[in-house]
Amino acid sequence: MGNIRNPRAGCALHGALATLEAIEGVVPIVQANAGCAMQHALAYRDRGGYTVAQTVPSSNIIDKQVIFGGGSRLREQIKNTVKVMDGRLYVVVGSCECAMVGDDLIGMAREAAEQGLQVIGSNIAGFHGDIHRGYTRVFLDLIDALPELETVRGLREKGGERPLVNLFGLFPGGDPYYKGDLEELRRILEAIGLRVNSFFGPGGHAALRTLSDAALNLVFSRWGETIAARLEKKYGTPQLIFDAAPLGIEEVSLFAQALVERLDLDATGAERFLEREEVLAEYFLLGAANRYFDEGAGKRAAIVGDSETVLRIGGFLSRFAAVDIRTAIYTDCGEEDALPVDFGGAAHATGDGGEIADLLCGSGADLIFASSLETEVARELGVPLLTVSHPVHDRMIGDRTYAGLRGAVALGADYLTLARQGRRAAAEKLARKLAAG
Amino acid sequence: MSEVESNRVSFHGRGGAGNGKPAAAPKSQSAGRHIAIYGKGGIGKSTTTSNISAALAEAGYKVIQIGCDPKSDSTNTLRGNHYLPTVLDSVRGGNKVHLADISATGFKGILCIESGGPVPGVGCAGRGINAAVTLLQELKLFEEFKPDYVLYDVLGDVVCGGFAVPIRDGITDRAYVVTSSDFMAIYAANNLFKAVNKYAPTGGARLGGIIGNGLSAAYSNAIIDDFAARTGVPVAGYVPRALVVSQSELYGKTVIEANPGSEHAGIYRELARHIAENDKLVIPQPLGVGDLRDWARDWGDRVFNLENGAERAAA
Repeated sequence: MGNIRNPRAGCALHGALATLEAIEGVVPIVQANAGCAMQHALAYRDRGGYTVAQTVPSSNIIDKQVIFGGGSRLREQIKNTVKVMDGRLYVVVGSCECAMVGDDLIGMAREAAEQGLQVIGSNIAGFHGDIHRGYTRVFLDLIDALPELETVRGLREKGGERPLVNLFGLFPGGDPYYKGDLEELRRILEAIGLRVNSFFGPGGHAALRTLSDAALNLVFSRWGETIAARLEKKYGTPQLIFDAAPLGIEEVSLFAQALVERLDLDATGAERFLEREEVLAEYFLLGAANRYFDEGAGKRAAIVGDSETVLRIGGFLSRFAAVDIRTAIYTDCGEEDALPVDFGGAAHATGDGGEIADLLCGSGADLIFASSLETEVARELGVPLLTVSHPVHDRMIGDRTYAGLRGAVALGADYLTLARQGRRAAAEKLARKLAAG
Repeated sequence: MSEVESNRVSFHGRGGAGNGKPAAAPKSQSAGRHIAIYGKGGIGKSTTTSNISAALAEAGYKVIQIGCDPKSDSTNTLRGNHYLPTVLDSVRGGNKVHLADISATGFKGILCIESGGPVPGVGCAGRGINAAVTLLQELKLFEEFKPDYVLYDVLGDVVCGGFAVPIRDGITDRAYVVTSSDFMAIYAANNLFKAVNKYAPTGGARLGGIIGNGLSAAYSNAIIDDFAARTGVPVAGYVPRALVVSQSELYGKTVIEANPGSEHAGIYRELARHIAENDKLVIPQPLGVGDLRDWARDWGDRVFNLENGAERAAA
């Protein structure tokens, strides 16, 4: 069944735009009718955690360009965009109609590049899939096209310099907390002796230029696997694939250990860092144990989100807070995909809002970990909701993370806050019932 | 809690990350030499392509022939006219597509595939061909079969951007055009030259040459030679009209298979050898609409004079 009610992901073009806009220094140029870029801007403007450009250059093509080809309109758009938009790299992205009529975006971008402009093209079309595929495809196109513009060194920096790693699989539209999550992973990786390209955030353009220098590519979701495979084929860079970003001391230790072994890092330094972090986590959550036994123990929960989010957050909750995950709903899996983990409860694959609401109603959950689209059903059920998956409207995310070590402290604290809300809601419900006689 | 493999670490058991279907791999030039064969509808593209495939396979090469035409009859003579589900039929069915379901092994091990297309009058055939070829790449057809040659038999005229995709996006690096000496076939060839001329400078396929087909009149070769010279394109070979070609086709076979000792089998073998070895690829200089008409009129006069001269000489 398709995603009929409240589809939570836009099209592949939106995924490509969300990705490009989040890379500092990159300006997308859309070859499409006016609706495509407009829809993207309207859909993502209000969502927590996003970097959405206020201005999206778009060729706004009309019937004439569909019939005769949109080459000259795009040429004009590129020429004008570089005059008014300050970018270090311009990426022409396509759309359904220009893919149907065969507009040669790559060729047009090359023509601009020959004139000395920093322009590359991506033949993305909305119908290639949802935002996840948009992220993957646009990154593959960047990898293929960037060497035409930049001098790709292709040489591993050896000796005194710390090894570089690229991070793939956490991105806007997939993980709403991607900013905080990636920065937390960066903090851990730098502490154990690495340099990090996360692409999103400050230094994004520089990260693109050095992506071929990495000693290892780290992948945190299925959506980064093809990207790492392409880099392995092109530059021989090995890869390490995780089913989710690590969360909590146990996973982070395993994560660090895998990297120490792979890249021959200083094991003692990594251990010292982890010991200090563990002490800090205990310090932050001092007294949490009492509150947990009062209010947080023995809870049943339902979790909704991309596989990476569900595995990371569901796994942590079930292991460290002994939460009984009754229902896990994977929103980025198709019916033909094998579902990752059921946590001993029921696992489903759907992105349809109606179906998700029905599943949540039947889950018997005390707490819901899902997106803002589940606000209504959570309210109807009288069950508190923590928005962990895309889209998130109810909070400004800022640097909030649910990954790594600080993410474990944050999730632990938010879990206990949610449990208290749940207890209060249950008490109020009971009081109302008693008052009604 | 965790499982560690060589390059996979699973925090959550059951190898979660490996269960996902990877996103579509974009087009890349895979193993083997990828050749597109274009030409006006009905001019003999499929016959020519199949005979070239058969000759290459006979010479010991691993060959894939992909029919890029909604009619889906390109590879018929390579596999005894049996029904073969097309790539797009399988896509329409909505189930997971397996290579075994959409391919058949034909003469001398040639792997035959038909892209298929939408029902006439609906959908977009150009987009369909693009989607079919992308799917074949996702199925790792070229990595697994490891062909020496892949021949794409592409329908008719280049009527819109969609049909130019095989020569534009790096699917093939060379194209040949099949034409007779008739004006409309040459007009279609000239249109293909326009597309190649447009896309070749930015990485699109270049032209290997013209294949003259179904040539019967005394002046046919001269017309093709003249058109080739004016557009700066070499002629890869001439295939005269012959009964043996029609007869083999009626038997549901290529000439190479049905009449291996015939003169035409030799012609196709020579053509295949030329295409296999030729590395001289050009960017054609198509004639403008007015120039093409003037050129045709000029040939009209010459042909008229030739015929009349011949009649007068006979009288």
